[in-house]
Amino acid sequence: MRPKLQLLLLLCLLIPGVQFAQARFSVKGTVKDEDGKALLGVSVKEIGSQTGTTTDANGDYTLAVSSDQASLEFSYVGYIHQKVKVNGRGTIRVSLHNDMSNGSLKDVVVVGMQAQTKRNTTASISSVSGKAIENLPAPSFDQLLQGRVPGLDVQISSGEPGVAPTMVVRGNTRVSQNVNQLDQAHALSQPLYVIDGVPVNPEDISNATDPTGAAGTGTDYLAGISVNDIESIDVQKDAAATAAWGSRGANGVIYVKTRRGRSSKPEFHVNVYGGLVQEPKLLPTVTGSAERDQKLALLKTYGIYTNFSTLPQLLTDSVNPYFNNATDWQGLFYRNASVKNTDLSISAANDLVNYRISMNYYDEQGTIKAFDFKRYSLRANLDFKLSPKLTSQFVISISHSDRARGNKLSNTDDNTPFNINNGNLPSSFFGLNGFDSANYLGLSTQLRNKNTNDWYSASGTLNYDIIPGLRFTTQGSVSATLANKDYFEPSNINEIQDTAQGLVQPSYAESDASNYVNYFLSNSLNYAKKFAVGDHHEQHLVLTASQQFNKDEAKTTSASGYNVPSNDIQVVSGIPQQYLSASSNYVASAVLSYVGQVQYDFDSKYILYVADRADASSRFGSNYEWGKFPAAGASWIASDEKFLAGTKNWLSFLKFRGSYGLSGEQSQDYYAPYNSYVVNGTYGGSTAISPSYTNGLTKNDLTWSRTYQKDLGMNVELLNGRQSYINRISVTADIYDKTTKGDYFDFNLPFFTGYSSISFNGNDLWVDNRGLDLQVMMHVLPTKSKLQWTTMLNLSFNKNIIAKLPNGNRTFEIDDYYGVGRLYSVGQPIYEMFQMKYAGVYNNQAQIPVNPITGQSLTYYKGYYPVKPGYPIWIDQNHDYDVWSGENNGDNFGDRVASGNPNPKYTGGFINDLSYGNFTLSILSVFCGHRDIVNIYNQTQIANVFSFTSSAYSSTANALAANRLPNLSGLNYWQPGLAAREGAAYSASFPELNPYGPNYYQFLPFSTMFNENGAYFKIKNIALGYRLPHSWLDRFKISAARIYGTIDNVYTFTKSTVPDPEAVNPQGIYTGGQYPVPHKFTFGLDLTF
Amino acid sequence: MKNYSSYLYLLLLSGIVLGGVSCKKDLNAGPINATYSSEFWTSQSSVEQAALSMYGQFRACIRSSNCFFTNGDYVSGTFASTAWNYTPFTIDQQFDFPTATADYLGDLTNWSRYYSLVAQCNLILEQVPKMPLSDFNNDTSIVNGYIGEALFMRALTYFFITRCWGDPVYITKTYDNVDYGNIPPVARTPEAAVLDSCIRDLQVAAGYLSFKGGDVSQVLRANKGSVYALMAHIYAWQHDYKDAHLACAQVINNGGYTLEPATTYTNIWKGQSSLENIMEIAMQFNSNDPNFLTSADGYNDYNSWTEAQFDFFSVFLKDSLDNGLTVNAWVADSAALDILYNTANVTDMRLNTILKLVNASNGDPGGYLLTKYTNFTYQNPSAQSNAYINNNIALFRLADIYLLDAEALAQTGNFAGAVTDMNYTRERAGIGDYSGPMDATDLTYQVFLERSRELIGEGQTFFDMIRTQPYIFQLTQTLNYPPARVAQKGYYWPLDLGTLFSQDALLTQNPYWSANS
Repeated sequence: MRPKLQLLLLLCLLIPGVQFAQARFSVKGTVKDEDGKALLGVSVKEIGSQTGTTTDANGDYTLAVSSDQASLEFSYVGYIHQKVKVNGRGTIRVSLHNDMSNGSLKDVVVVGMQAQTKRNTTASISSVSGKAIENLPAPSFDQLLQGRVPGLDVQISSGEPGVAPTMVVRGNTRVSQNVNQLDQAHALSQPLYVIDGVPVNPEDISNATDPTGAAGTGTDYLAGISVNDIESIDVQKDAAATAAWGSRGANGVIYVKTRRGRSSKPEFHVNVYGGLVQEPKLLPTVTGSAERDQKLALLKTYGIYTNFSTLPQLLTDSVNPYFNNATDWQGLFYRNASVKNTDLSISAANDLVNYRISMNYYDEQGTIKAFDFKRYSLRANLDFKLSPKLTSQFVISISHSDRARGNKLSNTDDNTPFNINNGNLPSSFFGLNGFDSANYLGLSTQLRNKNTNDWYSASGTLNYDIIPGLRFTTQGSVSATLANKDYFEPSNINEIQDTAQGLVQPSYAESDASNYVNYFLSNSLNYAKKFAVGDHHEQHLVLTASQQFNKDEAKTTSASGYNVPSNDIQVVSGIPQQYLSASSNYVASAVLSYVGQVQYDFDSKYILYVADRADASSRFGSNYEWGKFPAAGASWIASDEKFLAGTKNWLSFLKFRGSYGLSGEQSQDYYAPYNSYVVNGTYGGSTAISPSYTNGLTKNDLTWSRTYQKDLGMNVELLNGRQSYINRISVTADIYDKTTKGDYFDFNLPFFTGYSSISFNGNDLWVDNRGLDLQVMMHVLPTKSKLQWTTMLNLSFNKNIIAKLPNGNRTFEIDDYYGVGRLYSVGQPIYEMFQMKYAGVYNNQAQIPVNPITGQSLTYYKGYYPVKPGYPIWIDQNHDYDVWSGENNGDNFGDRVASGNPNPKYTGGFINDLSYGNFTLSILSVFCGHRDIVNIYNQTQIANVFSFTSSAYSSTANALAANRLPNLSGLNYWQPGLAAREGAAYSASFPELNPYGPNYYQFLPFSTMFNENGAYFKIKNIALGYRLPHSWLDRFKISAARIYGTIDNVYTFTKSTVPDPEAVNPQGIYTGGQYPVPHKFTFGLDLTF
Repeated sequence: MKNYSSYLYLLLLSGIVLGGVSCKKDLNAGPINATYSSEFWTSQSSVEQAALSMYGQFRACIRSSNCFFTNGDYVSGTFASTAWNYTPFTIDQQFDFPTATADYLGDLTNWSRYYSLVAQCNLILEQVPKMPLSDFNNDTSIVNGYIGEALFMRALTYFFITRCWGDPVYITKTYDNVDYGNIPPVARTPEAAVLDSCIRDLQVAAGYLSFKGGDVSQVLRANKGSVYALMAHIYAWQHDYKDAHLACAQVINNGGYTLEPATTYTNIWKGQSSLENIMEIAMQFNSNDPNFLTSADGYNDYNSWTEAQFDFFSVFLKDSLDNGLTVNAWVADSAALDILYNTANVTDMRLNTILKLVNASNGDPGGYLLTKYTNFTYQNPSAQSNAYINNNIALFRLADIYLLDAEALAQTGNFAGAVTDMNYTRERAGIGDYSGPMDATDLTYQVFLERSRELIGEGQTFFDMIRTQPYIFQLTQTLNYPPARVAQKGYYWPLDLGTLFSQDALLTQNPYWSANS
């Protein structure tokens, strides 16, 4: 066997150079683009030989080939390569398709185990070409899909390099009661990714490998794939597409194809870009003397004479240099950074072999100190034709990434590297020396926070054509994700803060390792048959049957301890036994699936599709492990009808689609049906075990959650090939209604059961998402014009509501960490805010309502605070003449009402691509419709007006002096002097900021005082490219070269006061600690040899 | 060439197909990172671990917010504290205890934690009988022993619930495999009915367990002695003093317990050291405890399962007794204790052994500190960090039963017997035999005083006041409760309906609090 193996390997290496016998035959012709414009410099090669030429300015070429049966390949950067068999013809005219567009109707999409053309599919699928997103400065493709796909809502809520954005296809279906500690990526339902046929679920990976569980590191597990290796991305949205993926398909499927070789001549490709990542714009703040004036003004406005005897020197001594600083503390933590990217690839394709091997290096520094992300990756796509009947594909991918993350131990920590609560930055008066800055920065330079991820993936596919039309395909893959986290925090990291509280903070070291391995195997049979009906009609039938097996295994090991003997030892070593802890874990699950798919068409005009899929998952009890996911779709290509023949000149294509089906999701918990027991501890020295309070009851009936989806859609193409100012308009529109039932829900159990909660199918928990996806694309200028302009609008409207709740639709409410109530009520969206309505300020006594029965004026806080002028107006919803968030009688709702929806009303993108000669310009804008957000940052700072005095020697004025206040200059807050002077005419717009006044928590976010509209329109990126003319390149033997520059995150138009309304958490909270999304400027060069 | 590569692929293919054979096994694989019902209830050692969990959960219940001492001792007016959330129901503050601060003492108005313990008892009662006898070495007495312990612990829990809040929500089943979204609400059951059920359970348990008196290693768990002790308390609570006496007699005559001598009096709380104790709750350090101070910061970093803690007992200590770690100690009023212990005429042994007179300091008033629980220790003596107090709670002991029997005999007319019972602890304390009037009321009052002296700081006095209120009127006379409050059972704590009502729509507030909140 051994020598034969070697021989085989040798053959593999030699294949690209195989040559064929020579005989001469001359071919000539013209190459044009799809709009009929002649293309200059198109490479024309004979496949399997070294013979080749390029087209001239008229698009003409002449080539002598080896025989009249030779094959030609036409390739041109930015266009889809095309192969043509000469077949004895002397003249061959070719038109190449621009692959910047989102795929033509001939493109193939993979639905389940079946390949369908876009023209014929009954499913709702949107595609993005790899060309459209290449060279944009981002580590992974997910965030680049923003604005490019109708029905996909991407929110990049963190600018931390290497962190996953939220990706939601057609609305969130996950109802979580955990509104506090949610990792960004876990708050919302996420789609399933399929990479070259292999399903990948980043959520599983992060759940299984993050040693800290749900509050993990937020690693984007898709960052293992270099953006520039991607050929195309298909986002599959409706049941006709997702049901065939069965388990985990319910929230949409994103199918990624990576690039393969396509030029017969070996192509060597180098692409380098680099640039600046700009320090984010800081929030305006007042410092130095302006701050002193502002604070003194507050004290003077509200204080009385005796108050002024106790003012601290910090406020009064404006000439003392020690108290006369102007430090904007925010600036301490940010920096300008850089981004670098290098791609190398070699590729070639011929009849027998097709290979592409690529390497990538990506390095992005964070704009917050001590953050960065580096990635090294290698990918090889190898296709072999072993015999006319047997072909195979191999994909091998290796990647390593390295992240530094400041002192963030878990993803829920605020992203600021310093250890001060964000709203509570100190006053600018404090002088800043090196010691201070080191301490406020949390000694970030001494922190060790190394996060590495390694991805190894290999997949092999064999296709065997048993008889014509019948193909057997087997695919096997193994992919492994290895994650390591090494963390070290020196002792007394926050010395100033800690010594003030008399604490000694010990050093801490942690080392975690985890690995996640996924095995995937599928065997399928595909049968395609054409039947002629009479002379003029034909029917096509495609039958697919497949069996799949997917197993994943994850294990984690973690060791940590306090009191490392020396700050020079940064690993878990030498730690006293009692401070040491260690744990390991192992989980595994498996899914066995059977899939059947049938597509039938009559004249490619009436198309029917039926699929059924059965999945058995180890994550369910044996009684309920099987889930069945049927779906059906139909489409009608109306433009092929005879009665529409007359409209052909303007209506090029018209298709109507409809689908209905069921898709499912399995539990995120690997051992969901098993109730867990916990080792509580000991009693009298002996171990005690009991069921877990949160997962202790048995649940033998646990099963798949189900999503029923209806979709109606149409595809229209107008004015194709017309020479007018607007041509080739294509419109895709879908309306859908998606109901998710029985999703996993943490039921709060009544106290008398003895258990606090259990995660189970919420059989009475229904979430409904309905909406509209719309994509309109058009070419604005005549095809003859030298300037070409393609404009595209993507729009997604989604309405998310809870349709049914357990316990007879019982409404409930949970306060999040920041104090914003969240309402869970039928008819309301998920995470709806629940607050008292704020409506300005009571300017004078006459405006304050009086209870006509008692004669008492309105009160706040259960009667404790009779309302006075200067108080905020909170609406008395229950008309009891007291406003508060709850009542003593057990009513937890008080005067609160549904007050804000953090889900965007609509999202979308607006893309303009222009080309002029060798120049290309692409501008992507994204937008987000009304969305309620809460500015907690502003809230915390305003609330600094009151500070609980920390000791007997402190006073209101001391506390006010030490903390930072926002810029109050534009804020018309209620002032007693003005009120007295102006009387009834006085009109302030904000409640009094009285440091000496009553504190009835009026500045907490349980009212809508700090709610804002988070709608935005963003110019997301601008990319300008220039293709160097061939005349310059030929002497360097370069076949193509392009230079380009991009600006990322260009400008945001918004009404909100937060710096970036997108950088808020999925529940709409802006804390000031979210990692800002930076501006990036890059410049790059792309060379092909 | 082609042939060989085909063979290679066939080999690969067969490898892949063979790999798929294991899928059935993978689909049915259970976790190896946790135990779960169907695996757990298969051995005696698991049942042992589940049984121990009941005691640990009970310990967590009574330590939560120091409720064992707050409910039993603090609100009887014996102690005073300057802690901000305790001052409002100190006796000389004219508040209705504890409404003003109910928001800040959540565990005193929320009984949920006791229901976790009830659930654990119910689980054992449901699972153990289903297990084959072979799991228990074919020994029926072992099975019955576990059932007896679970019945006892459930009765004990309901008795604690009843004494705090009145009518419990009475649950005797597990909630496995129900429709978790639609669990029907359950209304409260009258306390008399619940306590009757508890008595029936205890009668069964008495048949299953045996006396363990004379063996100090056996006091941490239920035994026949603790069953009769609890039965005596429940009967007395229901004023069925005839049966209370019979239960006490079982303990006294058959239990095998003897009073601790005066010289070694503090052995009672030292932990598994006294033949007087019927049942103790383990709260001592042991090196197997995974919850003991695993992290490095602070001296009070414990969770509810940590066996030895600082905060629970430390409320009674200050200054040198706990190296000054306690702020706002609970100090007993010296004037009241001087009267109780009659310091003018007799020197009560207990006054010197378990009480310490201190002057006012650190904002606390002067008075007596309780020194029953003073085994203060540092885990790290050199660094003076990780402090804890290494004592056990004596849940039931012979002195308690003698005095309960004395109360029962006084109420049933056996005055001589009552005096005999009462004199055991009087003699030990060196205050001489009782020599006062021999009538039911006087004797009941004298027994109450002796119980207050003997059982100070053992979670009994306030419940003694409630129990004897119909005869000696301590609530109305000592604590100045209005008679209407007693009539409405206003000595029970309010329930935190804001939290609990949303879980149980049939739940009602205690009558006094629904009228006075």
